[in-house]
Amino acid sequence: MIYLNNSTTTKVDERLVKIIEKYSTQEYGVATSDYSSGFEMKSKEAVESAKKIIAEKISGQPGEIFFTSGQSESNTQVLRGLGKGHIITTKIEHSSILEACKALEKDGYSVTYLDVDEEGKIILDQLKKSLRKDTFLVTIQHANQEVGTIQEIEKIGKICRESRVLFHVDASQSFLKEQINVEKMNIDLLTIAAHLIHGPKGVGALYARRGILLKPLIYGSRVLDIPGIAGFGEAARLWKEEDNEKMRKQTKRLLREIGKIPKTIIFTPADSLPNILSVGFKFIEGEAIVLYLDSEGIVLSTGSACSGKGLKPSHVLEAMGFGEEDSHGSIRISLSRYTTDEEIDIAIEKLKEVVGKLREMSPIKG
Amino acid sequence: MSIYTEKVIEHFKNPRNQGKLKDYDAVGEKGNPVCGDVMYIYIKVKDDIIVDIGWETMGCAAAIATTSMLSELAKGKTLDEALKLTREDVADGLGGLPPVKMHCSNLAADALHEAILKYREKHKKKKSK
Repeated sequence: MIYLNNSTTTKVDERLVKIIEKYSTQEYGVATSDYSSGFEMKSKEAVESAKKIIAEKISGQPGEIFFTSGQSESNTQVLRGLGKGHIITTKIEHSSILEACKALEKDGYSVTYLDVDEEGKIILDQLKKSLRKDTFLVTIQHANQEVGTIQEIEKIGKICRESRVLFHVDASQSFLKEQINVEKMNIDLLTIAAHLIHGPKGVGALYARRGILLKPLIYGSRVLDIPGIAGFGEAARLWKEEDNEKMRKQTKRLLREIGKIPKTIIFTPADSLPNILSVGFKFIEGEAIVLYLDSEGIVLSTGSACSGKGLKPSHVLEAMGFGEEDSHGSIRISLSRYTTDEEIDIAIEKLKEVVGKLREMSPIKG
Repeated sequence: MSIYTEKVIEHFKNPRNQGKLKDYDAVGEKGNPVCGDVMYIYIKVKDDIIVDIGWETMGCAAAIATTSMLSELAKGKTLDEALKLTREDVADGLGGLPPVKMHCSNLAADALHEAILKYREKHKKKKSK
């Protein structure tokens, strides 16, 4: 199987298995007691160590890292845990942000959804104009989950800081793949997910700048997923810049080869995440491409309306100004550290084959 | 578990009677590109029997598989028999379709009916001349 859907999830690094096992069957404390002679301290140390590794990667402090069950919980915690009033976000966020915002609107909050340009970037002027007296939060993703567009986080952070509005960044897709410095970028809150960096599923983190009070989502003492957290920390530690370079080269090769197929639309702009490429093929349908490749052992995803349960097209491509005719033929290829050059070659060959076959069948030839 | 039956996948990967007929008597067209599904069905008729059928489809796997299935069901049938073929017959032939795909992707029977009506219209004119 060739897995090219790594923006959805990734394979757990096999080096984590021993650590996860250790904190499951040997050092299985819950890191709550301060008085334990050794047993509880072991699990506590694992949590502290993971906090330290993650904090260093984003230039924050270990005391500012909180563990969650992942991206959706971190995002919901931010949106539900702060004051009331006006929130600014974008039209291309992850579903956890957009759905939480919709729920908050029903509860009396007001939300501005910023537009994006054809590259998927917000317009800074529109952000400035959207700020109101009662705006308490700006929440904008660092990199997009479908097309890989990277926002100008440092500039956005500056605007928020000058306006004294809290700035939350969903960095689930970009953590370790792009530079993040919460100090330089004026980020107050940051979402991270372990399963997108070859860590375990169901574990995430929220960075919250010291002094920010968040109303808890869940009451009472919480049992942390210590094995998962220990694995998360190790996964972050094991990530290397070479991994990004390798993926960047492979993505470029994909772009070069796929670009040779006629009537192809490239949705991913230049200078995007190293591991995502979103493209569209005119006159054919993405679900058919994905299913065909799946039957050939290649896994990737589509933004076509025909693949979703609600038959709705990709909200990201829509916001970027692409019509349904374009998003129907869209696919997303997303790579990981483990993607090999041979896998890329096979994927290119099979993709050319299926696009040719489906176009042959299509009555619309352009 | 896939949302599709094995039969759907099999027809999708090995479509029957696919292609535009060189010498067809009528064509039925359904769907539109914005919806993502477009089907053209070509028929060749002799003595009121569909002696050959071909098709072109743009759409998801279900759209391709349903057109393929319909072409198998319709080939060799009289026009009256073919007019009785329904979306349900096509779905049943494939061992079922996901409910969400029943309407948007299962247009082949409608396209066939249109082709037959067009053929009869043409034929009537010829007769009256």
